[in-house]
Amino acid sequence: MEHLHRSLGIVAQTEPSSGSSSPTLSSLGRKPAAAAAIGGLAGGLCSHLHSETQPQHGRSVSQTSLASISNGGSSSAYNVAGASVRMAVSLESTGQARETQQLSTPGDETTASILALAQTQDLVYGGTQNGSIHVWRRDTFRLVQTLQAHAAGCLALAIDETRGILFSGGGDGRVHAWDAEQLEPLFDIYAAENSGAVLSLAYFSQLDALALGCQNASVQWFDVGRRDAAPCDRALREIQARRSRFFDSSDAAIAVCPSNAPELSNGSPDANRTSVPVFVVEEQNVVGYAHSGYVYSVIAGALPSGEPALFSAGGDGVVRLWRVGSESAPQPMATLARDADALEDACVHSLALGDDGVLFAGLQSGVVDVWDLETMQRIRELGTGDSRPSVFVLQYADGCLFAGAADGLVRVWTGDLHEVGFFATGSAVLALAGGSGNSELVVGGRSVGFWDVATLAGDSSQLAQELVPTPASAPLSMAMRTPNAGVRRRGGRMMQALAQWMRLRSVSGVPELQPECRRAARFLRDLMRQLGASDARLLAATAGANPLVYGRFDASHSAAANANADANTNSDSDDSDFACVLVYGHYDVMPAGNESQWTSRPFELTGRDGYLYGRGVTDDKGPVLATLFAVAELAAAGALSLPVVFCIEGEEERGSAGLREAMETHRRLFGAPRLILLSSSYWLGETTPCLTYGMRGSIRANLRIESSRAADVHAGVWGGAVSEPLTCLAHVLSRLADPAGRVLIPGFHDSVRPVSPAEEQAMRRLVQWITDKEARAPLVTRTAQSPAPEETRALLFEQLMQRWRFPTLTVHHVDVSTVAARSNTTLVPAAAQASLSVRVVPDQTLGDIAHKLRTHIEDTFAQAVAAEPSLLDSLTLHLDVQPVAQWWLADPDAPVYRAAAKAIRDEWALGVDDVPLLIREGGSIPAVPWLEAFFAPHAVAVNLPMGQSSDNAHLDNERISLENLMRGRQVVYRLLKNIGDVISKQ
Amino acid sequence: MCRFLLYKSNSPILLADLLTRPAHSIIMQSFNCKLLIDKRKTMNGDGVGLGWYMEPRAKGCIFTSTLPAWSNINLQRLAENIKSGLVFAHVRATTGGTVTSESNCHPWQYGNLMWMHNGNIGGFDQIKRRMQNSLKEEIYLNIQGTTDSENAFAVFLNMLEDPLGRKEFSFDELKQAMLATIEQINQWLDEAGVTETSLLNFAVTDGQTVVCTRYITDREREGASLFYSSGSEFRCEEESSTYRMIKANKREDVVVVASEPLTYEKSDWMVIPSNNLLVITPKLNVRLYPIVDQYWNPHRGHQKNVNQNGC
Repeated sequence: MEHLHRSLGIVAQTEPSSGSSSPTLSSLGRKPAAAAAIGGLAGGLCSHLHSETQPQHGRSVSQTSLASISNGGSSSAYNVAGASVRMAVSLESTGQARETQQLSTPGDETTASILALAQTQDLVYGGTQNGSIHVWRRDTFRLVQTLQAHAAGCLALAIDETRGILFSGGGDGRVHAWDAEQLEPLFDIYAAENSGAVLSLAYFSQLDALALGCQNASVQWFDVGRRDAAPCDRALREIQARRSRFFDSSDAAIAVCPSNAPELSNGSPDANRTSVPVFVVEEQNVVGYAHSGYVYSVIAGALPSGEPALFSAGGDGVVRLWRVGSESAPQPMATLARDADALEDACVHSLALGDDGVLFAGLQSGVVDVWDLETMQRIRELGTGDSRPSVFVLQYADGCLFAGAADGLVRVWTGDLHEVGFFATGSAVLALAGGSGNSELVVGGRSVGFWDVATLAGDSSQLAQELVPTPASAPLSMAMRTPNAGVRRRGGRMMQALAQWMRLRSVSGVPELQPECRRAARFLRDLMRQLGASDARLLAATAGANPLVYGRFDASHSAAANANADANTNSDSDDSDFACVLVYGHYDVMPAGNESQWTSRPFELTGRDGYLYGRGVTDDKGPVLATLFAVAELAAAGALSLPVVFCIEGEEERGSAGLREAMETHRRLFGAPRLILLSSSYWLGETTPCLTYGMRGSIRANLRIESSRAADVHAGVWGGAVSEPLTCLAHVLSRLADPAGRVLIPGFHDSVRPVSPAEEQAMRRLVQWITDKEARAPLVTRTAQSPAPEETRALLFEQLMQRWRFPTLTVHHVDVSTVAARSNTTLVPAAAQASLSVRVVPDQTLGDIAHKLRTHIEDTFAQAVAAEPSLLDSLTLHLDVQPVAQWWLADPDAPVYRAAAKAIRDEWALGVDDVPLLIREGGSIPAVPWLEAFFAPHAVAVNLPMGQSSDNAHLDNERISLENLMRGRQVVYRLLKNIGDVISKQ
Repeated sequence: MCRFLLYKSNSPILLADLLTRPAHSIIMQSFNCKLLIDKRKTMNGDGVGLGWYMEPRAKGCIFTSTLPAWSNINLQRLAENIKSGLVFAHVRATTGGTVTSESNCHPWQYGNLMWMHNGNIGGFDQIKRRMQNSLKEEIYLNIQGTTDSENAFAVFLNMLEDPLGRKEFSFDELKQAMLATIEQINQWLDEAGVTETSLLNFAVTDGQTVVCTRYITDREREGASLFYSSGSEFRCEEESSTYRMIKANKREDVVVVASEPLTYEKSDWMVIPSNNLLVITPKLNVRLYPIVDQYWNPHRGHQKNVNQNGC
């Protein structure tokens, strides 16, 4: 350290104009304790102005520090003299810090910086540059409300946790008190006249008093508990007397100025506040010139003796300690100042109290001073070594000191002053909140970030305890923690697993990514084992296809004994026919598509504004893990009444290739599922939970009409004498459906089940609900165009019936034989082809519809060719019809459906019988009807959608709401907890 | 009575954003000032001066003109083209019967130092000789004009060690010199038996540090008005097309001091209490020190409207 000071001292002196003539530098230079600050100053001056005059070793300092910032990974700060090398570690790269959510601040980006943060167990408050306070829920990361608080910047927040009061301090020189839960204004406190901005606030719970740090260098004291002692009208009178000759005068001179300007600046931003009681900080409670600079920080604390104390610091670089009592203004006790502080251009932006009677002071120069409050001595300086950006904010939480700086880094030290490392937040760190039982550190700047830093806290033995042993082969590089209450609520462990799983690009059907798919499969297998699965393995699918992940959680003994014996009668006699729950899902995902369309990296789990983003997060990795963790939690609690087997395939996005073969081969493993549970669809809208009980089936067809000639011919030369494949194709296609989309195939509609009155009634209720509650959902906004509500509902009813209830036929694609024929408008193509599909519904059968489609196309073609026998060549039809998926329809009145609906209602606390909405889907999942048939007759499939209609599955920015995912997990938990009883009724 | 304005920041500002465009810019203040003390002089039309630095440790540049600020086309042209991180601007209304000449226009400079004054030394004529006699030769010879303000600058320079040769001074040095200057002037006024009140709003800079005062030789009345504003940026908001002091972070990146606020955004402007000295340090820390002498009164102003008709 000493070497460093000297060498930087040399830098300062060799820099010509900041040499010995400067008293600031020379006076400080004599004092080793403060020398690092000079280092910072001199380094800054040199690199700023005269880098070409720096000696070589001076330059290497700045280069090293540049490199350490730019490489983003682990970096090192070298002592110039080479005496020691200290590593500064990126905690993101070691997995010790991970941003779980980033919340954007609503409103104009340029004025929305978060300047202050506060939190309770449930809510996080962010004071912004434009004076408003955003309030978010901690569990869902949803914005609850935005309070219009201050006319000019909300700079400070403090909380009275006992009574649940939030205090906000603003650039308008006022403190507002709010009900921290109801978010209603309670009362206002005006700082003394001409105090400027209220830059900092501290609440003293024992004294029920508030300390204000103000722009005019004063510290002010307000007795919250006895605020009513002074008559209220006195406060009002005093405020009214505070008229500024400039701003509040009605002199004629003002007429020249914009007429609306004075009103604008004086108006209260929130009309609601006019009715709340108003108080003023009395003159005797103002400590004028408590500092000689802005009071950027006041904190409430105690001396090692236990005596309560107020600590203040600010733009004059010194820290002051004040004796506080409820009776009077704070009394000066001590000043903590470097020897030369009075002369130094130093500034303290933030204070924090550590354990063991230490006080931390974050300085403009980028270092953190550590003061021992027993001896009132400065015992350490953290972050010396290279010139560092200003430390704006400190937070001491869970045994760690966090220092947020202008460069966007949060640096971390243990309570024992060991540097742990740093993490990067992307914009200057202006506010921090942590502790109070929350495992996450909240970081405010341009946005609000929630950082999981729980692994940093505590000693190593505690850490070891929390580690779950992972097999050597497991891709789990990170420590997985046993969830504590707070983490469990937010699913910290599940989120970590999801983050790692999503990093594996398990896109099926891409040969290069096949190893990634295998890794994703192994990851899931290992995770199942760690979570207590009695069996977890990979089952080979057909050659070249990705394996199936199989896992089994056994029924808990106690729970199984309580379950109805009927359900398990077979389990004694034949192990392969045990009653169970089958969870079906898939780990393969769609390709990311155009990555430039994504706002975050597609294969990185990114939390933003209450949503989780990333490929596969809603289709289907998120729901699969939510289900797995619910099952594991039940198993761990001994509450699993039936065995649960998992069948998580890797080829779903490619039509489930090899699923049948793998399951047939390993049928014994899957027992006799009574419930097939999957989560592979979406809510109809954004806010109402749904339950999917039906899907259409699908048949795919390709037809190609070829002429007997070998190549395209010239239309002018040959036209009229040759056959026209495309015209013929068009003719055939035109006979399949009319322009309105009605299918014209004879007998096509014969077996469509008639709509029963009950069904129609249910549908109308559903439509009513959607138009009432989901008016902004894409479903409604895209469908309903009518201004009349009843017409809107009628339209929506028709649309949904067409999409879910009736069959349809789509021509996807028409093409001609050669590339030349596509663009050259003088050719007669030699062949033309089309691909189409049919969606089928109950009670159409795939075989019957495929047959009717084939026959109709063949007949139409034959008639067309027969009409023109005199052409030079002839046409032939090549037709390929493939059934893809059977339709699927469950009975929503079946006990498992009723149970699922109840689980959803209970979890979402919905008192209405109309929800969850029972919905169908127009699309198809081949595995669902197939699995039902495979495990017939007792198996009932329940498709339990977790995500919303805006989840963007298969598209860019795929996402799922965090709340939906966590509640989805709980719904599964609730459903499976009682599943033994439920299926016994089936 | 005059009006002045000074600006210091980490990032240069276009002078027009200070001088001509804000709602109550210094140009506006030149013909429409609101906080008059002398009601007979409503105009600050006896010249205008502008001083600015292009970089620290390099001598600043000064432009002065005896034309009123509002009709000075050259001032407008300069304002539209110069960007600086440290600006002094001054519009003048003569006091004490001094002539309107360029040499009497603020600011003045000496070496790297720049000085301006809003107010007047009451009974200046009675102490002028004492002032000048106290000066070192080179400082005395540097006086070009006839004003009390320039002579006060000379007294200030006299308090410093090698004011011409040095490129920078510690802020404490400048602060102490300023306090010593006021103390010295008070002493001379007392010796001369002057009873007239002096208004000593001084501002000085070496190109990095700014020291300014709001001071009156009276225990009850308020000094000539002086406001300041600080934040991360002073700019025009597109939506409202009004100038605001943006506070985007904890650091002060911009400090503006002005005789009258440049805008009508009340919460952006702070009163500098009478008989206080304000320092803007090189790192943009704003420091406020009471000037504790015979005129210090911590309870000043609590009896309202004492000085409605004062000086």
